[in-house]
Amino acid sequence: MTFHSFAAKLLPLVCALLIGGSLWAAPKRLATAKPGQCKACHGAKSALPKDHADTKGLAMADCRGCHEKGSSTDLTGKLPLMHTHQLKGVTCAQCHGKGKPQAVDKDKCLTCHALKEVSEKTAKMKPQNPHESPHGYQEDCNLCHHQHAKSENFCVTCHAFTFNVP
Amino acid sequence: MTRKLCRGGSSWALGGRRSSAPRTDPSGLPRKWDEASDVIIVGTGFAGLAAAIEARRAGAEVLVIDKMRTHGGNSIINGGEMAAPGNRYQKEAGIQDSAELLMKDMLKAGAYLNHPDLVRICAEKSTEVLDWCESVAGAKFVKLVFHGGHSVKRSVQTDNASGAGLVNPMMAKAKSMGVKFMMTTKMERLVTNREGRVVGMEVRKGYKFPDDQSGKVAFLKARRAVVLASGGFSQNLELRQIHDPRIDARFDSTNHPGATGEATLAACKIGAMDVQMDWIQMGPWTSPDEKGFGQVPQFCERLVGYGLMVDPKTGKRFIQETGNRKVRADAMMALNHPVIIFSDSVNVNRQVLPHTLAKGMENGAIKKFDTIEDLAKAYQVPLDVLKAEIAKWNGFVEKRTDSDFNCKIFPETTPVAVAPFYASRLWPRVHYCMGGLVANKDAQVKNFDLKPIPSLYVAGEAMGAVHGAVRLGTCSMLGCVVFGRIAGQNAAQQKPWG
Ligand SMILES: Cc1cc2nc3c(=O)[nH]c(=O)nc-3n(C[C@H](O)[C@H](O)[C@H](O)COP(=O)(O)OP(=O)(O)OC[C@H]3O[C@@H](n4cnc5c(N)ncnc54)[C@H](O)[C@@H]3O)c2cc1C
Repeated sequence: MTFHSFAAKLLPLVCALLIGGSLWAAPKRLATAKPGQCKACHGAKSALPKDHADTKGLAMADCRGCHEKGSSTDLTGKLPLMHTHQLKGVTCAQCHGKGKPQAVDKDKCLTCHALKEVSEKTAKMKPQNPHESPHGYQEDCNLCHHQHAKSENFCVTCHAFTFNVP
Repeated sequence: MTRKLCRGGSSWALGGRRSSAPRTDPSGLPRKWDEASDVIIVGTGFAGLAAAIEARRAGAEVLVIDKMRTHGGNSIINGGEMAAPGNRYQKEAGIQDSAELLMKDMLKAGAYLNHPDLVRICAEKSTEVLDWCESVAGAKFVKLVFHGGHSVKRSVQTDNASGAGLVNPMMAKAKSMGVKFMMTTKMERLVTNREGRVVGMEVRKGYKFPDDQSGKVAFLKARRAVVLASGGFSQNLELRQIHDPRIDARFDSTNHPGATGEATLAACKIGAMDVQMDWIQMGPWTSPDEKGFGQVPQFCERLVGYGLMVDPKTGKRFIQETGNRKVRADAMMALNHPVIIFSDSVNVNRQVLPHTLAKGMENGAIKKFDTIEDLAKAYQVPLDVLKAEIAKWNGFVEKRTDSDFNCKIFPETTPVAVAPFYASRLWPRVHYCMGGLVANKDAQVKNFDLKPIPSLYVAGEAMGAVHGAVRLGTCSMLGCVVFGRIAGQNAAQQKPWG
């Protein structure tokens, strides 16, 4: 009991020290960073391979010039979605608003991505259109699509559907 | 399973990180409640949502919690098939049915271990359930289906062939009525007062299944009552093996991952009694070659009586194919390896839905063979024995009686003769828990004095002894809605304690 409460008190402090001392190179989430300006958040040690072209000033369409959709270098499922948003000109504030950023509800997603259109885009996916789940899971975008972490395939809880989730 | 720090009624819960002052007094009552509602319901499946709608209709303030990220538990992944005697589709088809006949069927399948007063309520209310689901909850049921063990075709299926066809309209209805929902909130402990009345619960908010240490401890005050609609424990390997040691890690489950039963155990910790926990239903129709529930159950169940089930080691039949879930699953478990079911193109094309066949073949769980030789080779079945067994079966089909295993042979059944042949491997999965909390017909949970625990109700799969030894297919949905409604109505009538 005493030890646990002591440990509980200490934990946040240790975490703060670790993060503050950047022992964990977790990227910053700088609202002022320009898309393509990787270093602003990721620091000097770039997240990109050594011989990667300079990304300064690039937009998503430029990335796709090399990383063609469907090719082996396709970025789908590799690039956290918030990068795609940024590179397409969607800023942090456009989803989170001003002030301290809060978790965003799926309604925000729906303002740009109407469910019907999304579902049409994935209509041909096999063995099942992920946006036509009989369970209604498509109603909550956040179940699969994450902005600041790797997206996940929620269907695999019960099915062997191999979706590459952007 | 439960958190180490605040287990039991008399331990002290830690409050947040800043203060180490105990949040509960030595009797386990919180010094401060974080939230309050008249009725608190645990679980967002059929039972919980039916209870929520009824409690709200009765004027109570209602809060529903669920530990998972998504609502609906097993209910939202189920087949959407519900027993409903006397329904309009039966009338159209000229099928005679009644609550009494359903009661007879449920008791017979349950080997008369079901508590008769619960079955009676279930049967009596069954004739109004469909109307309630459609007119109050807003669901649509579009066709009549048959399930083994029922005397007549009496079950109806939702418009999207999934339990979601009932869960989602119920959820929308409950929200529109002002029912509040808190997801990722796990009930860890029921809080009782000195008189033994349930007055609230300790939860973890922001819980991330299955991490027991995730989320923050909070106390929810239930002014009138708590309804447990937390489902079964098919996914809890340790618990199910305590009650049936045969059901070890060799067996997967068809259930959602959160079917772990700790809410039932939490009720036991405050003195609730459990019953028939060792009656755990194995689904004998699942395939080891696909995940979850899959397509094969619909292939297998449409083919029994139209094809053979064979032990690939011997090449022989081993069980009455049309027997109930328990008989078949027990036989497979005794063999200790997967078996096969197969038939020819004439029987398969007549019986199995094209959609099921296509999807099952696409995922590889259903296979097509041009010859019996190919089939035997693929599953390593001794060919000569298999051929002799097929000839024997075809003889039974001619005579319309199976003198080996007394399998039902239907008027349309034809011999297994015309290529191609379709086959699938079968291995049981844990499907349903017949056992749960002891309840009376008012859905009150009983304690070891055989008296109701004040202000504690149960409904759905968490309620024990409704189905006895074998739950008849499509009767769970019925029981969930019937007792969910009763629990909700009664919970709302309890006198508030503060
Ligand atoms: C694949 C499949 C198909 C089926 N098909 C049919 C069918 O066609 N017809 C039929 O009649 N039956 C069918 N069944 C059985 C039936 O679906 C279930 O028995 C029924 O859905 C149970 O409903 P429920 O409301 O009791 O529990 P559930 O729907 O399982 O809901 C319980 C909820 O409680 C939550 N919970 C549990 N513990 C806690 C806790 N400690 N704190 C907070 N929340 C908690 C869970 O997360 C879950 O969401 C099927 C079952 C499966 C798995």
